[in-house]
Amino acid sequence: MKFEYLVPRTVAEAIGLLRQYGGQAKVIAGGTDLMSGMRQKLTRLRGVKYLVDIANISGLGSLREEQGQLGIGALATLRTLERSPLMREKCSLVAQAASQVGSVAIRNAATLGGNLCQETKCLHYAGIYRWGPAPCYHGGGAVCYAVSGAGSCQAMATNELAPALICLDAEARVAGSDGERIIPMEDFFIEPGDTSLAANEILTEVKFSSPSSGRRVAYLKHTYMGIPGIAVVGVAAVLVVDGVICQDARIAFIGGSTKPLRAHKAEEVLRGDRLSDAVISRCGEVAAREAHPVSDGRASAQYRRSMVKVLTRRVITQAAADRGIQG
Amino acid sequence: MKQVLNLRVNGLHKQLYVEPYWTLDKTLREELGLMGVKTGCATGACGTCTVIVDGRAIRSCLFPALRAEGRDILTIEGLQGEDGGLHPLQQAFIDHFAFQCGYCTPAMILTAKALLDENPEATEQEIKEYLSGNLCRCTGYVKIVEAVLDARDKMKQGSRE
Amino acid sequence: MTYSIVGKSVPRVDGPDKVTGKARFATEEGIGLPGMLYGKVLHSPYAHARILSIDITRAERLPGVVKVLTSKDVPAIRVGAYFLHDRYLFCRHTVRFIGDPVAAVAADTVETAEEALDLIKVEYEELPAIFDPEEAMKPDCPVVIHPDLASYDRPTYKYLGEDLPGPNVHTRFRIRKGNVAEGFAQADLIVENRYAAKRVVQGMLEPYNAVVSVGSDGIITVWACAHCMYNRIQYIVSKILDVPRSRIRVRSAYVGGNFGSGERASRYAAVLAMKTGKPVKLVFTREEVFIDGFNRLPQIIYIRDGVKRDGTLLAREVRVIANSGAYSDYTPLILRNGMFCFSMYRTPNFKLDAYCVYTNEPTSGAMRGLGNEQPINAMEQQIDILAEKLGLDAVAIRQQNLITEGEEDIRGEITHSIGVGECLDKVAHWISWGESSREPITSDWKVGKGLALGNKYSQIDTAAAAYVKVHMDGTVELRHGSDEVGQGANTVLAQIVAEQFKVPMEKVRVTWGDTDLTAYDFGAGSSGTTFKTGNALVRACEDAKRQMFALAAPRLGADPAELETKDGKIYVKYFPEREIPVSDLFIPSAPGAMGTLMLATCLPQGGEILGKGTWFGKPSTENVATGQGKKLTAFYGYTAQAAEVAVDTQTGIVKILRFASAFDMGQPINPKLCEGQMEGGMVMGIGTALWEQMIMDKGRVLNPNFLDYQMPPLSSIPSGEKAASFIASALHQEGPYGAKGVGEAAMTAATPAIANAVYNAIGVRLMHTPFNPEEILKALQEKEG
Repeated sequence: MKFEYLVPRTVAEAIGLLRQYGGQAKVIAGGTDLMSGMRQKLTRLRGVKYLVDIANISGLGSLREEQGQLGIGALATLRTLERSPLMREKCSLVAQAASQVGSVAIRNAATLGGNLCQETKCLHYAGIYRWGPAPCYHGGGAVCYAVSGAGSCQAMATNELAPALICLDAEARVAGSDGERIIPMEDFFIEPGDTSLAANEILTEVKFSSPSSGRRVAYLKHTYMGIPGIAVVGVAAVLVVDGVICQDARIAFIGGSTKPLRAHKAEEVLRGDRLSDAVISRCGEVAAREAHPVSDGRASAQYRRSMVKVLTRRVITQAAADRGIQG
Repeated sequence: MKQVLNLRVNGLHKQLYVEPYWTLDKTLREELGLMGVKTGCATGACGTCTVIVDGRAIRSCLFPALRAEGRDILTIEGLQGEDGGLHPLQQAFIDHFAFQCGYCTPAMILTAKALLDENPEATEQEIKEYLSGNLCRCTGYVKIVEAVLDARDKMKQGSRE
Repeated sequence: MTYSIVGKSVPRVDGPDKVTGKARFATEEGIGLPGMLYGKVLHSPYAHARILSIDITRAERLPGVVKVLTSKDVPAIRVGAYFLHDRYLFCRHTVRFIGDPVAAVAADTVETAEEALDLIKVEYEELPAIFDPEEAMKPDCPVVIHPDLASYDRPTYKYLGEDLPGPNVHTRFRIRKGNVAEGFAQADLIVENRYAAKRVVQGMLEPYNAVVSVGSDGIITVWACAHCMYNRIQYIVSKILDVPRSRIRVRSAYVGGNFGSGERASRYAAVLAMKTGKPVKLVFTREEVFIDGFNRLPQIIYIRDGVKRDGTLLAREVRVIANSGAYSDYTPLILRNGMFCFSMYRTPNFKLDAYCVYTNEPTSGAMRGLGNEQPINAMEQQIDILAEKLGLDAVAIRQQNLITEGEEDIRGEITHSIGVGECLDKVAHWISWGESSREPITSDWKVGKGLALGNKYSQIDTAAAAYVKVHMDGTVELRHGSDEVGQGANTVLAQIVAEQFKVPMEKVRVTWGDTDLTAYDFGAGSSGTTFKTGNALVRACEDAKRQMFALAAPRLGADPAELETKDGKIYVKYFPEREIPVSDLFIPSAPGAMGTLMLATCLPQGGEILGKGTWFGKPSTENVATGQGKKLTAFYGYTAQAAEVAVDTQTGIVKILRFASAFDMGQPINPKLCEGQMEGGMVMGIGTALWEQMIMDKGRVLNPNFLDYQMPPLSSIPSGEKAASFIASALHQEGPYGAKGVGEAAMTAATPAIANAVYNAIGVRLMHTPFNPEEILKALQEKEG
């Protein structure tokens, strides 16, 4: 693969380059997902002729806390998030999710932005070799090789930082040629398997309010084999517990749908109730019904649904035991 | 068209001309002859391409060469002392038979160094998790763990003296 | 017996090279070679199709491209491995699997070569494809993958091509002993099951690659990443280029893991080098290694066992249907030899029919164990099932049925050197067999223990020849034609030579990896290097010593038979103070010697002290209808493995808590290296049992990379006190110092040990590998529901 390597100094310059080169340009942050995908000759990446390196643009990698808001720059590496005292203290959910991605060497380079905007990991999409067959929906074609007869891409979401940020009611700050806009995390992801970023837009930061006391968090993921790898299902939960009553809950997952999904109905099960075994169990079942998984070579639809159920129960149980922020 | 790249490799300043589409692994191997950097999968999954960039373990097969501008790179060739003496990790790998074909070995040793530099008191569990990004098909890992534990202890001793 | 170097864990001779990055692999070769070109191969997108046309004009015109080759540029010679020649270098009219090579390019850079591939336009007409081997083997199967099969050349094991029951069956193998009908009639219990496995890969970290250059003298040098320089590289390149073997020099340095895998890159690099006149480097991507490599031959095994109430095995009937994919490569031998594993148990009545079938899937080939893992999985789960139904202990029923020294086995061989019983005792003791687990667990997890036995014969119809040169200063240089693929061959062989000459390891040199310098060797396959190359070296040492002693005798006033050597000196056995250094033999005795003769490092008579030794296997004849023969194997290595596992009943995830291996390799030459094989075998065994599979979709590999084909990482395996390796030696009378071999059997028992442990934990038995979480959960739910 051959490409030109461009190093803009500002976000505006980067956006300008994206406009200039259109579909032939791609932003490179950590590069772990993009470079790997280009080596695999993934359909969408075959035409990439210009890499726009934003890694050196200052200000995009920082973690800050101001006025009750935590801001994570899109270029913050997963390793930074994993180890940051600020994250671990204020928001261990993000640290938990970040720590379970890939390996240390990958996390040293991989960024929050890159993880949220990652290329789909569908095996059938990756299994389209350079030499054939014809592209699937995700590659601009008119077929889904995973689910025959499907009318659109069915790739299961794998962006592991998404559930945590959805549960934190985070917002994405996006810069484009028309200025900046704010997108609630839940709306940042659109079906199937894409983000709402326009072609010339760059994610610059993710913000959410500093957690209050009483907020308990947990993130669990399930890989195909139970050993480190790409998530089959990942579930995050944030509970606001007052005494023994769950006042509020956020549950979100990947791997059970074509985009990261917030399990609104499962949250309802918990809201205003005691966190008993029966309630938690029912919550898991409801979350599983909110999922609409497909069988995709990595796991069957039925198994994905089971894992949404099991992980939701476990993540609620773990969150309930989380000491979180004291007082 | 090739572009100039300035970087430090194993303590020495290097000026190279690289194509914009080259990655760091190819650059180190073919321009600088540092063959300890290996190619196993080109997708960042096997770890044999791992080098240390500015103190951090990085997959050089996914790292664009031009991104290395101004950075400090350490490869296995830079690990020995100036007198040629082996690093405690290298000696430990020999003492504990922690290699077989040797293809994963340079990256495994460098990653272990990155770990022990970050966390000189790393426990067996922490060692296992940190090194999980480096695949080995030959050894079964048992002796690699023994070697890193031994090196950890020797390095702690050494730093006390 | 104790020796001074044999049996000691001396440090590996390749240690300093490997820990400093100085060790060179084939991937290092050619870099910087002037004029070198880079090769790339174009593969078929269809599982079965006719090639209508190939247009290479645009590719040829791309600046930087030197040559584009297709089938019309090479003679129509079919070359497989060395059992059944069924494969063209480039498909001529038909592509038979997704990945089948159609063209190759040589260009000035890798990137240009890859671009050129995209410019080659191939038109195909798709044909119906078949992927199920049980369908493909039917006599009336409408899809025939190799219509000309009957005309293909079979240079070895011709009988495997007789009586084929269907047009897609390319190999058939039989074993007959006793009368199974009678045996079953007498049985108190009969258990029948079907076992199967998905495709897995060797997973060596160095991808297939080769550098080939053609000298102006016409000598073709091949740097190859592979093992078996003579059989696999030299023989195959010779056939493909139609060049005599004497003009092919194969070189290999260190190999980045092998596990049986063959070569693909050398073929294409060789033909591109011939056609361009330039050196060509060709490196497969990891995807290509998966797709156009050699995965492990999947076998469907139907096994039926009949036992007496007291656990005595009376009859066993086995039917194997193996799916070789589109070509046969090593699979005829894999099918035949994999079945040796049944010899471990006393089986008075035994019947086996094995078939290897073509399908339109990626080609299978040799992988550690050569086809014996899957039958061992079947056998070792069966015996646990029988034990449970009879109310017998799983260890006791095995001990009862194991064959013993001196007994004739199911193949007609007299058993010699079998230490498996001791292996079994060691692991059973370590795992605290019979006691419940003491590992801490939480409520969703269930714990269980399981064990199993394994074995691996070593091929006897092979040969190894080696040289030993004694240098003037007493250094002994061994030259061997086997391979250092990581197993430690160089170290072990050096230890043998060091022991023979009673010199320290520092005084031994190893020369290897060059067919111009070494003699023929089968190569590092069949766990045979220690035994065969080791034996050849012992004989070469004896030959060298004979030469030394013949020269030294007159100087020492003794008979050659009275002499010994140690530390570079030759001395009289019973009067050791009468000694001379080796260097004295080189002193010129001509009266006028004062010039350059004083600098000669050659002997006045005979020139060099160069010993030659050969080990040449002496197989007996084999009754091809019954698989019976007096000497069909060189030896057997044996293993026992025990696992303690925890199963998450909510997700189906299996964790290996503790694992023990014990091995009978005869005399261990280097105990630490033997442990290394056991530990490596443990992890490869765990991976292939639980996690590894090529995910196939109508002939397409969906996970041709290490992201989604998951080999075990460090965090997933037991270490420290949770993993153990034991050595139990049954010396072999024909092995060097009584040694046998280790490499392959080390993983054979892991799958059934884990399967038995999972059954013990959750009462669910899995017969199809991998035992992945989804299958386990489904089985658990079926059991409860």
